[in-house]
Amino acid sequence: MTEGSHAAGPARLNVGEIVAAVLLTLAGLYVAWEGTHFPLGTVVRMGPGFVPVALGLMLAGIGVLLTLTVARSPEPTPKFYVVPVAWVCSGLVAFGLLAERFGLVPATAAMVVLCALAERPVRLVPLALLIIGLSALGAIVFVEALKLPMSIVRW
Amino acid sequence: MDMLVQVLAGFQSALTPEALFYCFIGVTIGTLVGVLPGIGPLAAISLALPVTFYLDPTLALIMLAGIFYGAQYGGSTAAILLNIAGDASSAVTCLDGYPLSRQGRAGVALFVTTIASFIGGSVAILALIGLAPVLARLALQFGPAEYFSIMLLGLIAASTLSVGSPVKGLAMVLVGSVLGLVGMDVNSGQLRFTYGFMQLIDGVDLAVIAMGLFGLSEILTNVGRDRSKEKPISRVSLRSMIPTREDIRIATMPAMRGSLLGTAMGTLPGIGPTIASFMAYALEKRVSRTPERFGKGALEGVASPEAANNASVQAAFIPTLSLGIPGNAVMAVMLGAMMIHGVVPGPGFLNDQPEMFWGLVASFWIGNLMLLILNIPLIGIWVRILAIPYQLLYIIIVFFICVGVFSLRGSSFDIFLVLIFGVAGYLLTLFRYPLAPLLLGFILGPMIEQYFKRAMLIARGDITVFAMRPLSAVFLALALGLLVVTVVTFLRNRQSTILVAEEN
Repeated sequence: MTEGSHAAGPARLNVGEIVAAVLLTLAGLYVAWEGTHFPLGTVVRMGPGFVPVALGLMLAGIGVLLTLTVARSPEPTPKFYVVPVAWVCSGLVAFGLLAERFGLVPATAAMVVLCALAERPVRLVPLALLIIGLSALGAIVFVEALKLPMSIVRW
Repeated sequence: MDMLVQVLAGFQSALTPEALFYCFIGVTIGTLVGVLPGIGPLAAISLALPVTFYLDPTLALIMLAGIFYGAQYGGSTAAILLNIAGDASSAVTCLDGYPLSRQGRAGVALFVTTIASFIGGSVAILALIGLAPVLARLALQFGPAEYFSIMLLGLIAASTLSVGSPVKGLAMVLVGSVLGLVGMDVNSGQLRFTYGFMQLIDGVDLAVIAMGLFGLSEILTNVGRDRSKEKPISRVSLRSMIPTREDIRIATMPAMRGSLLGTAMGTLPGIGPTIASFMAYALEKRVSRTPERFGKGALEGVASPEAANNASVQAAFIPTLSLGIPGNAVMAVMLGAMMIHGVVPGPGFLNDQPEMFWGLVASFWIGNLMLLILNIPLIGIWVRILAIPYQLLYIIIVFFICVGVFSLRGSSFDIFLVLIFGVAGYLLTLFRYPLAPLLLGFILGPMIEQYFKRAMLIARGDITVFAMRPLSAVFLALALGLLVVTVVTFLRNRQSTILVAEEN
């Protein structure tokens, strides 16, 4: 109980902010490393690797600066709301998986149902109306009128 | 005289039935997204982007621009009635707008903001008509070196002068520039950051990034949150909107001051509607003989910022259309849209395609006129739309994102990309990394690289060319100064924030 107490400054280490800044630094280093696979050239005649390396190093530099300065920032670590975010994401995945093979209407229905699960309570009647309404809108406006490259239903 | 003819020709082309129709669609969508909290003008413009691929470029730009300035009108509605800032620039309107609403004067507040917005828009459009040709003539002397320097300045200004941490803004500009590298390098034909995906050879689509960062991530930040605190909305009758003579007297001068301030601010790169409206509010409070009324329902506290933010939005078109240099992320998307349609922004645009340029400018004013009608007699519709439960709204937006992205090239790959950008944008927002600079970096980064290479080619590899040409040197010095000031203030007070905007 005594050892760590002397380190406790006015604010504790802000782990969330530090992780974010460190990840940014690593991303910068990665971009620079990836850039070294290409010819670098010179400032005057830049090769395809020059800009990635330069940008990556600048990003890493800013990342280090941020890591040092945000370490004790008082900003609270945010809450992630994993469950509702995951439901909406799954809705997009479903649309992506179904749209090409089965067409607009099945993809829309699956997307609406999955996305709706993000907000509780789920109310069935508005949900059903939404599926019908959006499918009709998509079929009439986007597929028929604007001629977007997708089929309405495909078996 | 010559210019007057061109302006009139512009009105002629903006008054064709088609142009009026798309202008109307644009400002209506704009008002809608402005009214609805949780979806901003950037998200709406990026959603509309794929649809405009099928339109004539002039019509497409008229519509996209309409969404942008229309959203500034709509933003005040939620601010006044619900005390919710749909976007950062309407946070100021909440300060005095909501107290007015609680005093039963919501109608007057809405009327005054609409008229003030119209005045602001009109003043800025006049400035656009006067300044753009002058700037474009000046810019004809620009070589690649000048373009490189002024774009760099714009990029640095936009990222450091935004709301929040300027260093995080700079980091996001770099991330955006890196995203701009994805695909085939135009000079060497090498594939960079494509990871074997054929779909990435042409790079990441602007619409995909914009929809992910500004459409999907906004939904992810709002969905599943506690909404029990939401308030019922009072109805607004047309009769309640009529201001008294005293109201008009109080609001006139602030609206004029706000318009001029907003126009000046909007012309400068990096200063968007948010900073313009905060400055206008601060100015009014300072010149007022009764500053204690501010925050308790002072009419000048809504008139001036609303005039300023609308003026700055219109004035932002000045550098974009005359120089080809976007001052903020929305203008960058407009620039991207122009390039997609084969229009090269910059001084050449005004000189080579005057009918399109003046048509666009004329449509701005016509759009502002339409917004007057949309926001005064038809205010009841928007108030009712505010009552749409979010449970339905976000699903509808996801639907538009899915269909819009899929329609880009009929490929599910783009939907998965949007998902990645959406989640990334969500996480970045959580840690207070601003997203607008990322988009700006994505669009301007590759352009800066090209101008740099061209300047080097012309100067035969003499790197001092940027410092030797006087205009270029001035721009670079300003950019460098801005960087130094940013880093110094950042190190001095760690969490330096230029403005502490209320986040919704």
